Amino acid sequence: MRNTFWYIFVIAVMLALSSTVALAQLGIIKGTITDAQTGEMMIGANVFLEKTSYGAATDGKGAFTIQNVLPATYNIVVSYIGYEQYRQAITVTADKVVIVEIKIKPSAVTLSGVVVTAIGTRVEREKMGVSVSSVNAASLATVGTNDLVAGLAAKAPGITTIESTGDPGAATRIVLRGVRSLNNNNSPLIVLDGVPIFSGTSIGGGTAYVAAESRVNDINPDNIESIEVYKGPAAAALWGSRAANGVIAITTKSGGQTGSKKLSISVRSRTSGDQLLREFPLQQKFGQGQNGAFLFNGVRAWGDPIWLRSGAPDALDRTNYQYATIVTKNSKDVFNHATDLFRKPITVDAGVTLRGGDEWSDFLVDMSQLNQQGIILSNSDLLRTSIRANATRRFTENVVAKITSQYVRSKTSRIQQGSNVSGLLLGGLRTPPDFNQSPYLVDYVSTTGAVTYGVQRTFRNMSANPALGPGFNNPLYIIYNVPTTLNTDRLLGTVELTYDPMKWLNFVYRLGGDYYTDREVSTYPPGDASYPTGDTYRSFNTNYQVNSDLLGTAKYEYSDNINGSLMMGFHIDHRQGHSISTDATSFILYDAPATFSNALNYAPGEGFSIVRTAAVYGEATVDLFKQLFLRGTGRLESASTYGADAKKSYFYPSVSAAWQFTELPFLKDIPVLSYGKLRLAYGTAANQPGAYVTKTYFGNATPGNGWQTTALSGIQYGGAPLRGTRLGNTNLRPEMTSETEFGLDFRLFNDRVSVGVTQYVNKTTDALLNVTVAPTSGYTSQTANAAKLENNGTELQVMAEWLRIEPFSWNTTINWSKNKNLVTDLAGVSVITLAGFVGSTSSAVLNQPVGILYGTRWARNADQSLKLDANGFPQIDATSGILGDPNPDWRAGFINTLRYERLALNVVLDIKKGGKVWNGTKGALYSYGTHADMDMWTTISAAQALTIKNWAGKTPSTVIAGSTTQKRYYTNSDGTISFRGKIGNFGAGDVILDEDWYRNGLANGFNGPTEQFVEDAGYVRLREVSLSYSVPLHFMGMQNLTVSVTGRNLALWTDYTGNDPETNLQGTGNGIGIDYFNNPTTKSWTISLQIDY
Amino acid sequence: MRNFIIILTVAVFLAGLVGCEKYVTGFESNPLLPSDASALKVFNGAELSFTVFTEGFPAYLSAIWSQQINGADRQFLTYVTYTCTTDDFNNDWSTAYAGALGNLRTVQDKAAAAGQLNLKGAAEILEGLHIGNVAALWGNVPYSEAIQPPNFQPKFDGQLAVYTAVQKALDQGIADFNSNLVPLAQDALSMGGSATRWVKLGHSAKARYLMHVARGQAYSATILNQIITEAGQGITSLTGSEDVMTTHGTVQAQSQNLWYDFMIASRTGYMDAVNTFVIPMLRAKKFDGKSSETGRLAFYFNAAQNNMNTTATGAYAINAGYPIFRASETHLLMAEAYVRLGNTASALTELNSARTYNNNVFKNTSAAFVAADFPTTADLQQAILNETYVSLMHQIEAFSFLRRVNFAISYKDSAGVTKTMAPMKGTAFPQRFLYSTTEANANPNCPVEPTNAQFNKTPANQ
Repeated sequence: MRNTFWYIFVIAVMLALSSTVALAQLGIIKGTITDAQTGEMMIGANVFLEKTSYGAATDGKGAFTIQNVLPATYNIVVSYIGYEQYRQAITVTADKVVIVEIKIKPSAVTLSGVVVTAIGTRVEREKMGVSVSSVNAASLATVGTNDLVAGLAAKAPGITTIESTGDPGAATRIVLRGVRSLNNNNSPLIVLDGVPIFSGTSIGGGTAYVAAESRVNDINPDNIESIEVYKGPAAAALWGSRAANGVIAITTKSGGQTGSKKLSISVRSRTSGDQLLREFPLQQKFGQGQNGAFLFNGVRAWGDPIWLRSGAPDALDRTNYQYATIVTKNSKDVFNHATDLFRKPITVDAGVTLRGGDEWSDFLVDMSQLNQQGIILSNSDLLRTSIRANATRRFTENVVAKITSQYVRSKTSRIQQGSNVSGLLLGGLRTPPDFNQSPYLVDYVSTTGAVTYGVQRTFRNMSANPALGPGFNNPLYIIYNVPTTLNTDRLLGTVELTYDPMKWLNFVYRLGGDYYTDREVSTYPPGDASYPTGDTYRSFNTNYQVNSDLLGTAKYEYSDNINGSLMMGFHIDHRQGHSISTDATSFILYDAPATFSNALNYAPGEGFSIVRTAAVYGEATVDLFKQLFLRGTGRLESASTYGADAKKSYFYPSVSAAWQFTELPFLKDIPVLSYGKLRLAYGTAANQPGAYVTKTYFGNATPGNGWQTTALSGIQYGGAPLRGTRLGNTNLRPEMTSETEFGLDFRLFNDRVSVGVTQYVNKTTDALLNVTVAPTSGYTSQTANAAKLENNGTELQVMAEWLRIEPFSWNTTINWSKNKNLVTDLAGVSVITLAGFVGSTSSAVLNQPVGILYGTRWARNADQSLKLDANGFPQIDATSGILGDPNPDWRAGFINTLRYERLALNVVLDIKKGGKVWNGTKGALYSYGTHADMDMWTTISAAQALTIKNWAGKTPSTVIAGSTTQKRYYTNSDGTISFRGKIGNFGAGDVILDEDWYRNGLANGFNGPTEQFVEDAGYVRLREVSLSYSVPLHFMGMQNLTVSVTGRNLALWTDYTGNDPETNLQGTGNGIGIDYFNNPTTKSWTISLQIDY
Repeated sequence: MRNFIIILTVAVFLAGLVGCEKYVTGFESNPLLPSDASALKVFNGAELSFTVFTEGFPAYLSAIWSQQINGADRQFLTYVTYTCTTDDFNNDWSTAYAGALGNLRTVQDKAAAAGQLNLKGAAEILEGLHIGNVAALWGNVPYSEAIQPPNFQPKFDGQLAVYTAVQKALDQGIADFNSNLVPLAQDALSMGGSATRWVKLGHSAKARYLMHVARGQAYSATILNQIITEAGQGITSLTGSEDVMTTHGTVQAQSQNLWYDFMIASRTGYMDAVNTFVIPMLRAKKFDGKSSETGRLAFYFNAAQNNMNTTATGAYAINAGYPIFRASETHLLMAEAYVRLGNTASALTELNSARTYNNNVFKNTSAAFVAADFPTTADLQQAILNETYVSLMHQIEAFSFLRRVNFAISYKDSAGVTKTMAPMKGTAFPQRFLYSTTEANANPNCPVEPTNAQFNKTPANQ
């Protein structure tokens, strides 16, 4: 199969490079395109003949040529971003040149008039009965994230993206119009040039380990011509059981003649500088230790006030070793662990595109390389090299072949994150401020002078004593010694053959292949906190999918006022994955390379799956009186993952209607309302169950518990299988989502203002769910079609051109959307955990939105007041409850574009109102005493010190009287008492909130309720600012020079106290709103330069 | 031409319609995993689940609440103050039922069908031993309706009914094993498949769980005599050669001693031995003039006696076995039964057997007690209870035992002052584990845990 893809790729390249001279004998259209107001020539405008594949783009002088046109009458259409679509009838005769001079008018409506449907056909936008969001592909390339999905943020209503971390290539979660599945991923199907591709993640994504890498990132944004977003089943039903989450249809650029030039080249380069978005707030006043005193190797920063130290060198217990036990801590040196792990790297992205063509063929070859460096000091990068070759060839008047292909190779290094002693920030942010992370490796000298080379030094093992473990890894040790790498080779492409035997009949055969291999390696040297004897894990994965579609479309024209089309298609696909891994531990030679042959123990693993789908489908359209457009589709589909006792085939219908009411005679010439359309659509689509959950299997016993995920393995005990705890289900069927949407599009004041509003409701029935079953039944879960979900929402898009005083213009786009999600049935189970930790989860709860934060909370009385203990402190409730909704109330994108001649300024604001995040990082750091909030110093009167109690029930006076050595309370010369902490009141009078409460008591994330660390995560974000200038440059063969400067994430206004309110530990998973030592997000500046020859 | 194309299109469409289901069939089963496995192998899997339950978290928490270790960090810090939530018990509840019991039932069904009564007997004995612990820790638990899918909502049986059923399971297991006294070909516990040792385990387990319900029967002579009878057929070897231990190797996350893994690799710093009751008690035992606990202290704890011993000679060496049933427990069950029957001579003999066991196994150097050492029967009884508390070191059973005797454990310090165990916070001792969130979530029969339910006594101790 891999070879097949290579053949496709090689053929594409050959076709592309062998574009030959044509057999001209037909008609020719020549013309120029200029701005109707300024007379300026329009460069790069797309010109095409409607319902044909004839087309061209204008050259540097605004001229174009379309050759070899079959004699007939056509509609010539011109589309250009920022301009109204132009349309004119034109008649071509044999061996004649038709000359047209086209003037196009600028418009507030920045949408192309033609859209690519989910199934890959082209339809006029005005005929669509569903809302389609088209994203300006040109704007994606300059965003500076190198991530296609992240670039969609705020660009259209109804798109929710979450950039979970700033790690290079980290997957961005994307959900269209709300969550429709609990078990399955909620990301839309990505259809590239008409064919679905892999768009999931490789590696990572759990509560510990590295951030997931998205395979969507293999697509170079520079190669994209257009993106259409179909947000739900009403628009995407033709993809049946793969389309419940909607479809993103991406079309890659194709070649072609630019004016008279048969070959053109453009060269581009982008240079970005990244940096940490926001520092995590840490305190710098109190040192390592506990109970107010310094403690060598102390695991907390509840030590002495650093400002009270003498400032002399630390006193050591012996002189033969620099890192010997500190007897007295004197040094006042402090270190900022929020910033000392990060740098400001430079990322370079460069590419060259070769385009060309003649009357019979066109080609595009693009090569690019991205070298992205992350902000973590080392081993955080992404190197992506891609080659794309697209070619089209017209063999005869009615046979066209098109090939698109891409080879991409990417290599990424990553640093671990999350709940993980080998995670970067877990140890990093917990480190007391008076501990210097450098050096992280030292040669340990014992009391007798014996040397052990290269021992890890951490704040929990400050002497690097090999007899003690490191506790947490030193973050510098992680950065330089514990890398995880992923190498990916991917080849994907399509072959499309179009045959038009009659003028009214068209056949398309499309075959798409997508093949990639991953090689994942993660290594822990001996002495690592996770694997004291060392470990290397290697996993080799291969995935491929083949999609085949045969479509036949017949058009009919009964009269001028009644016409339509009928399409039928046949689809099969095959998706296969295979992975082999080995985890080897216990290195024999500690200094030798971390290879299998250097290890004593091995644990192999293997995974395999095949999923197949087959379907027949059809579509019928009727256009009435040029104003009413009706469309119906149906798909009858089978897939291999359904249970033996379930039905094999399912039907997915959709219907839509668009009524362009401004075509009515009495509305036709009202200048205020230049265009109006009503839309109504309904459709059904689904999600397939995962492979192999219809049966119960036996597997190697690897029992564990919450503290020791895997404790034992049957392979060490002569083989010991256990029955799986998930009960197979022979009745599994797809989870069905049906959607109804209703909308209105209108344009006002001569198209200066355009408004689109859509109201939708989608309901998922038979939602797949790992139903928790009572463990006492012998199983813990069963996958079943058990739940029901619904989404209800509104989307609004307003585009307006406020101002046009030539040559100045100001356009604004507002994208606003609101989605209300609800779990309406959960099969009798009250809570399903989607992500997070015991007691702090993102869950599904009946009658709540999916992802609701659920966990431990304060015990409360019937009147909701806190249930206080004898000392006046709140207590933890034995059971968990709802803590907050991470889903926002609404989201908005606010895009302003200001142009002055060829200078354009684009500003994108991203606004999220509401939504919560569990700041687990803060909860842990309260216990550790390193959080900035733990920077407290309070003085109380002697009288107060006699009466106010702390969590342990002691007053400062009793503590002082009880011990002459205590260091927690300082008696000042005036009799007042100072301490680290503050006075609080939970409703039963003043209490002292000190180390007892924050470290031993319940005011931290380990011991106390999760509730107290749930924060509002709403934000206003200056997502993008870009300034670009395009210069026509007729010098040394150059045509055009574009320079732009883009800033991303430049400002963030939020009440959230962590790194970024958008963060999410488990990346693209369905659980959201979990912040637990996630690697931080970034901001960047990018300078782009493009030269067209 | 036109007709031809229409016919062709329709034909392709129809062919597709027929071909669809055919194209997708044949891919239902995972090619890498079996849907069945042999009874003997599954038995070993069940033993590993049993090990993770018995040696893992329930033992850690029991040891904290028995004041034999200390919770030092994170959630373990709050366990010291008896704070816990239903979430804390999710994993072990699943391991107890879906992991251990569910697979033991599979073994029993398959072994019965194949006439492998020794294997069936072993599975029944392990089931009895295991469910006895589950009932002891939680109180009323599902049993009579457990592991009977598609019943996903088993009722909760009364704790005493479960104890009765446990005796039945153990009886059945002993009978089945005796009817086919052939060693098991594979065994993850230290018996190495030995038939006689499995049967002895069955009898010792019977004695233990009879004692669990004896308090409710006011320690009647009937039940105490039953205990003595069963214990006499149980694990009694004073060299420790019949002790039932889990077995371990040195591979991290695969075969290491679970306590070693917890303390060294997985959760460093979460537990230590600061502020225990048992260490000062062991140190003080020398003041009776006959006991020397140096060996046992050194076996369980480090030199500084502030943490557990994870060195090669310690209880928590990387590959050390963990006790499921020690012979000393059997002797002490007999000692307690005898003393409660008023037979102080036999009680003293059994207590001394336990001390001999300690000398042999832990390198203690204690001398035998004589009758004169105990002025009253109550003194002897207290000495037996004190020794039981220490002999059950770090086991779930220590916590079960303490609750049965109302935590009435004491020792005399160097000044002769009696130190009695007191709660670590507040005035009450914990009495049970909480039902897991996962069970409460999915089984409407699961009682809702009120605040502080961990302090409510289980029926056997009421």
